[in-house]
Amino acid sequence: MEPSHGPPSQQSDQRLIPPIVPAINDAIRELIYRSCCCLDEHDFDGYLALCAPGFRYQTTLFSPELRKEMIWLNHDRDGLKALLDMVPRHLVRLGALQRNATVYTIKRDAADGQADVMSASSVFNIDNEGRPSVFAVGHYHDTVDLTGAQPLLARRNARLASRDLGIGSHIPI
Amino acid sequence: MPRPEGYANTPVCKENMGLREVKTEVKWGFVFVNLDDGCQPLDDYLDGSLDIFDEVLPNAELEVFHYHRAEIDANWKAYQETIVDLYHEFMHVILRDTQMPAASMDDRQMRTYANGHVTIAGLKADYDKYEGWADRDDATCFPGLEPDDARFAPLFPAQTFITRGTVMRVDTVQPITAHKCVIESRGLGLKGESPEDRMMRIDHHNEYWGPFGRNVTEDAFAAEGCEFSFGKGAAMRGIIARDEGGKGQCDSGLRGFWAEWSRRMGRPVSNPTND
Repeated sequence: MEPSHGPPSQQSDQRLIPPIVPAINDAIRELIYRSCCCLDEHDFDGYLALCAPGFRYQTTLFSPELRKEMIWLNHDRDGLKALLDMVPRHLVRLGALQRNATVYTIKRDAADGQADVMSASSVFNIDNEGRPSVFAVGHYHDTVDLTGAQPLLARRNARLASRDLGIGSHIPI
Repeated sequence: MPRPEGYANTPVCKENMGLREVKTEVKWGFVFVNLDDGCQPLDDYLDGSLDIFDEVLPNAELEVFHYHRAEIDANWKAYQETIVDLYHEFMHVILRDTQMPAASMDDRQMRTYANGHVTIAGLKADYDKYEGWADRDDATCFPGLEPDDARFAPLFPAQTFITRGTVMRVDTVQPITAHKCVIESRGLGLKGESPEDRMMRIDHHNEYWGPFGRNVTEDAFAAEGCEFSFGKGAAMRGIIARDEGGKGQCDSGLRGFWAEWSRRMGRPVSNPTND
């Protein structure tokens, strides 16, 4: 007989506690994480396939210098597709961006068939020598469309907490 | 200063302890600050280099809607050279598509001024020539400009005023070390506009000049690349010999920039370390 793992109290609890995370939340998390992977891998078709037809993407932040809100990127799905389609023609930064996200909250609204999702987001730049540096830190504020066979991004606000993006990026965060 | 008598036996006195006064002048709402108490009046220093905005800025009430302070790994001159050097258009697909074919190279007017300033006018852009973009023919413009106009004034040492027909940008570059600089970019629109027009200017700004834009990211990348090449000795000489009489992609602006740098530093451009 295989020995049980973990303290005895946990062993009994695990048997009694029913699954508390609905499968839909898992699908939402996977959507958020896939969106990061697709951009990391320059799989732009894959990214757009995660976006609903009425998708709106924005990068926003607050400027204490101007004391006002700023918008650094604002596209509908077609605009974003055009932007991503042209990336291969551009002179882009060396190295690779890696987006690390952690889903913090999921608020589902059954009546609207959507969920508001907030995730922490850190983007690292790995240069050609393998040296990492922080490119951007912030949160994704996403609206997820739950009316179809699979969840889709209906809206993403990549809300930046950091404000110095160095030389910038041709690819959104 | 509470109880100033406490300093009675010292040279410290209230009148000499305030914030240092600095020279300031205001032109078209822009506040120019000079830490040199002996500096010449602003208009004398500019020598007419902002006159290309004479029909634009006096008639525009401006709003700063964008501010990006970015530290990059490059000497400040590497970035400023990129701004002044029109030949660098070839580096940007967006300029190859929208700007270079939009008007005759003979229509361009590059001028140099005293103190190393440069202006470039007569540029045009067909924005719909970039795949996925629409034209801007019906967009409301800055006063005195058409939607396809582009003109800019790199002021020595490191400030640049740039307008495209619908939006404006002002850059200031500050050296931090020999190998780092800070670029402050401000995007400007027209104050008191409708939300739709304001958003249009923000989008137009971001498409070219934002941190996720198609143009300035490449300028900054190029500056870092030049820094790397210079530092490794791969590019020991720059060729600044192109002369098109101020048209096309003339190097006269670069020559003016470097002549002023040489004058102020007391070093020939061909031997900048005075070895």
